[in-house]
Amino acid sequence: MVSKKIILSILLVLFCTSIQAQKYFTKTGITNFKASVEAFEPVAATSNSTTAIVNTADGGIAALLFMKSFHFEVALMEEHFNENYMDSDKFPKGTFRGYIVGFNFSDLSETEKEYTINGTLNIRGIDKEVEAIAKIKLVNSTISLISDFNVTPQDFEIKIPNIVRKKISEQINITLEYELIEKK
Amino acid sequence: MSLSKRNKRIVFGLILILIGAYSMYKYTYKPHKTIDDIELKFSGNATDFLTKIKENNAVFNDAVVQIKGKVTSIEVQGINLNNAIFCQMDETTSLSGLKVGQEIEIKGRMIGYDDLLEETKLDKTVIIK
Repeated sequence: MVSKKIILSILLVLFCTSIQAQKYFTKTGITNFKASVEAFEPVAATSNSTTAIVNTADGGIAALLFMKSFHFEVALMEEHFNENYMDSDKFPKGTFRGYIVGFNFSDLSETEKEYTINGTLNIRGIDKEVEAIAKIKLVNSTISLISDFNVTPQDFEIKIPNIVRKKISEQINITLEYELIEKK
Repeated sequence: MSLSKRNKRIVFGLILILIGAYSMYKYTYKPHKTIDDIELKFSGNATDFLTKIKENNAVFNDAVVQIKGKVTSIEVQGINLNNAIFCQMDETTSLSGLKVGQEIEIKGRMIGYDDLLEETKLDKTVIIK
């Protein structure tokens, strides 16, 4: 009985260590942000230097991006975004930590599968729970993860002045496209 | 042809409006800053740079830095210097011809310290030599 327990725990330890190092990551993930209102100038930006890590053993996911890496078509808009709305000097990062629900690496294939991602988004030092549907596939040992979700400026206590309120949408749509490769 | 006082005022007013509109347009649609427009805050080798970052990892945030270092890996869209600085290349900079182990000098904008991967991240990087 005792030896059975020992063998079991040894097996468990072995099993845990063998899956521990399974991480997929990117440093150049694409995150888009859209708050456009029709008939006005598009309020949209892209960051193509998002860091994201997926732990393929437990479906854990973490992402980090620097506000200043968001690129707007209009330079002045980028300046306002950083200085007036995001306080990028004070809060340079946006982070996300969460889980891909029901993730199992061996289920991944070249056909896209839908998963739910649950987690906490932190922007301007404020946490917000988000849930998003993600499309995940595995092609040539690269995990491709595409997802999108909505947040509002109020979620992160971002004040929008009255004169521009009509030009910025109430719902801000965030889309992500990450191509993750194995971390060695 | 001489303009009446009233017409002169109208012409003057129109010119003012045009100048105003033009400068407003110029202000609103000013070009993006390139790394040559932003102040260069550090120039030197990678080890010195990393010591400074260690003391205060936000010290060069959003500043342009010029760094001499060793290419430790070539990655998607960029290179790693001294195993600690990830340099994401400017869209026009090609990675071909770069080799691991090579000494290189680059210039880029520091975007911040990435605590997930524990490395410093630069973007808009160009190769100096």
